[in-house]
Amino acid sequence: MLFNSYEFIFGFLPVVLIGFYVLGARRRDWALLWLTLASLFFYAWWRPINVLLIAPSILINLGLARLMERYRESRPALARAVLICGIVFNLCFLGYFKYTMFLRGAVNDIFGTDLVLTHIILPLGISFITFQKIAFLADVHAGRVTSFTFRDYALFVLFFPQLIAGPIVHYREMMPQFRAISTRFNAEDAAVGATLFFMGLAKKLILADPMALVVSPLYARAARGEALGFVDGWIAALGFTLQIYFDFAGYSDMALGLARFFGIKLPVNFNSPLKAASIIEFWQRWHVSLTRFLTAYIYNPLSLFLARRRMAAGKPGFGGRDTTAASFATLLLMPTMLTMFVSGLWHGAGYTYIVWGLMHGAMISLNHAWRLVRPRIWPGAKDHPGLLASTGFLLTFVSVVVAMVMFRAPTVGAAASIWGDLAGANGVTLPEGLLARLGPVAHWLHTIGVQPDASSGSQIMQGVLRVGVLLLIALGLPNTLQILAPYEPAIGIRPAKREPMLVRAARWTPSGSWAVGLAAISAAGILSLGQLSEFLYWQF
Amino acid sequence: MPRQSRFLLIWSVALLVILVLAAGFNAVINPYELFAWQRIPGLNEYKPGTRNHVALAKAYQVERARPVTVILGTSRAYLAMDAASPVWPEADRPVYNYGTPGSNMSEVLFRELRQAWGTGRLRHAVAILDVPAFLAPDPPLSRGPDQRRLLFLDDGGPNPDRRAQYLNDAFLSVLTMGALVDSVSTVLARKGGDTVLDLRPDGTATAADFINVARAEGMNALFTQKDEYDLSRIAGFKRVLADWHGPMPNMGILRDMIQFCLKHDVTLTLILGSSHADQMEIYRQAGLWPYIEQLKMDLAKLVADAHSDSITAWDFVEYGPYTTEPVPPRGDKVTRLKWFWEPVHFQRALGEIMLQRVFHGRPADFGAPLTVATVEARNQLVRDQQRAFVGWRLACEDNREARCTPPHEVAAEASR
Repeated sequence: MLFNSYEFIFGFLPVVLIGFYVLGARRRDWALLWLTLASLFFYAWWRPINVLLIAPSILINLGLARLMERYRESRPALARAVLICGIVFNLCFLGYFKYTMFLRGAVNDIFGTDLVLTHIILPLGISFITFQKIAFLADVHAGRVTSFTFRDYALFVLFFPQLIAGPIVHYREMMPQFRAISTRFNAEDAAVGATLFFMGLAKKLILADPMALVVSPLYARAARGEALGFVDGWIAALGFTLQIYFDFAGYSDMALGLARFFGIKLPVNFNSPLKAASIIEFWQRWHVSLTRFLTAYIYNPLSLFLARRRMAAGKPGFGGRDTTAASFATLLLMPTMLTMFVSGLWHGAGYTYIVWGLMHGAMISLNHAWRLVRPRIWPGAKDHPGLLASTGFLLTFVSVVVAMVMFRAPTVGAAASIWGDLAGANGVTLPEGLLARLGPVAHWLHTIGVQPDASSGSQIMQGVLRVGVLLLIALGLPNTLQILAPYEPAIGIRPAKREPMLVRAARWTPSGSWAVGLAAISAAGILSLGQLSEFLYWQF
Repeated sequence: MPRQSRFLLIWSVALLVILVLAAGFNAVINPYELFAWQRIPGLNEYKPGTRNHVALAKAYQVERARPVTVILGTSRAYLAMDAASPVWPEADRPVYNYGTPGSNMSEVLFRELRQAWGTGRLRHAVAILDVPAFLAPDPPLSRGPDQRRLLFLDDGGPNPDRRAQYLNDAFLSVLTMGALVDSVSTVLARKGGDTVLDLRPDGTATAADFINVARAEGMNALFTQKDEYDLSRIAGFKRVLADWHGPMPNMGILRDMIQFCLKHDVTLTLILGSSHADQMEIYRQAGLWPYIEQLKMDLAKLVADAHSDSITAWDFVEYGPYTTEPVPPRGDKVTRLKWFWEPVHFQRALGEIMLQRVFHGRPADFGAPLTVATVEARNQLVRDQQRAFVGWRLACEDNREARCTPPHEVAAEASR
């Protein structure tokens, strides 16, 4: 069931909320059980077989966690073996459903074999659920989770606001909340939840989805091997970046809002990443819970392991002015590239996703390298914070947009072709009709090599206009977390000490004017439900 | 009352009021012609919102129109065949134009025919056929909304899904953002004019989109864009036709249409509509011309097999005064062609002339009935015209200073 569907908004959600409050008024555990069963129903809605696929995995993980809980103190080696078994089991589970076909295809590509590519049904949200279960096992093993029941665990895994597309949550940040929340109606939670949910709905349906109408035909052309040209190439790159930006922003707001209806605060998952002034900061703002997971469970352990090995061998470590190229390569470049390789592969079983992940790995490493060498080659850099921030922002923005082409393109070749378009390799042309309206500017454009073509000027203008408006919103306006900061819309979000005037002016309050404004936004979202569309991140 | 509770109350009431107002506005403006309300001059007289909802609008319009004659076809019929033209014989009126842009020719034609017949008094169907529709088989029709809107199923029984589909269409016509935007554009377009798209109650549409592009970018841009599109399809056609045996693709659908018309006593006129020389030259140069001749042959045989005077076929695919109008040069935003918008879509003026020819026999030098007896001669005639045109164009290209008016045009000017 999609969050942006009539059946969810007018059927499932009201029924679940009413049931939760009515049962919660009598017995709290009934309310939580109701929430678990409703989440299971939500998961089964699309394809009931999903439940049969995912349920055994949940039970096995619970059993492994129980074993670890029992032997953590008395037999740590056994507990560690159980943890490794659990991780391997979960990765195999994910690997079978998500990567079998890709691996067979890759073997065929590399060795010229003819392995049959059979389609395997992918259980919904399997990537998110698997990572969540691995995090749970790791937390139990590390003693961060000390007691749990089957009901708790089932609710933690199945809680529908975050079930399909995250955020990837930790047991330790969810269960204390479930144990503490009031199961009776709370007007503040409902008001904040409704605001988050309907602002997210509007982002998804009014900002993200219409952009697909501009972007999809362009990538389809690239898939057919057509050159897009400079202008269409940039519209394709910027357009898709903004489409997935508002799609994911919308989903994240809706997830926060839905959880808040039940008094639960989810962790931040999306925080205006396009405003980032470095690629490192970008990943602290984009899909934050995934970054947190990958850092905690892949990057940090690997980096630590390699650092210990180097130290044991008497080689220099990493950090400060004494960092050598070898230590940088071993302790930062390698773990970063591996982590981002996994990130790419996690997003999709395809070469394009892997290349996209590796590109980000390279950019993050470059960013770290710059931070290391900058004090040496430009000691006075800190005296120019404005220059650093604006240059960093521009570089990050362009890098993210260019890399996003690989994320969206159907093949690596099509992405490379679009990159050629972005660089002007296929010439720079503008529609003749458009040039005719530009007057003297057209003459100047001609002198710098811009040629007329026969494409539709109105289509280009539509694309440029949409991209411009969305850029303005993404870069110029405060985000939902800032607007709702006094009400802690996500875990740990509070108003900043010094906030721009625009943020203060846009601050949400439970006032009449905000109620009417939100009603208009909600109505626009509801009226846009007619054209159903899936969230881009649901496919991962 | 706590502030948060008051907020929720105001929000709920305001949301309900906005939704009710939006639904009421959409229902009154009726942007997709779903409801049978009269249009109100100065408010919703023109319907630009039908642009992307032609199939929806026409499925219900045709039921209200209850035509005696229906025009079937794609965007060419939609734009260029005037259901209100005085050319239509009195006995054939009222006429409804069921041409639907973006439809594939064959099965949709049949679907349109059955829907029009289902309204109760259909006696004549005029199908405007496109050449490329017979160069590759159509994909199978999915059971989408168009299918669910039909009055009758394939077996002749009433369609049980129609009511649910109507309710769904009604919901989408009043409670969606798209409908609201289209309602607003309907009101903004209340003054009309040739740049406002309209779908008349008789199914005929204005060519506002072409007029707007022609004014902004010139007709050369329209021709160039369409030529590029046609060229991009050539490889696909060649691939299909290389292994194709027997009658041309989709001819079976026409055979079914003929059987349907014979069974239900409906006169069927098949018209192979004109293309501009630009498109015909693309096919000729790609080596597809023999297939076009084969298509005409197949059409003639189909008609002969029907053994009925009520089934006729006409051919307007030729190199003549109407189809060889020179295209204005790039950048020329003033010159207009008289007969074509671009190589595929002919203008209403040419549609009128085709109807004149079919129903009243004039002009005698444009188009011809297709029969088994005459088709070979017809193909030969068009081949000669083609040869003359190619020769003229080569000579014209060699001598750029000379006035390059096609030979047919000179002759036509003289005769007029």
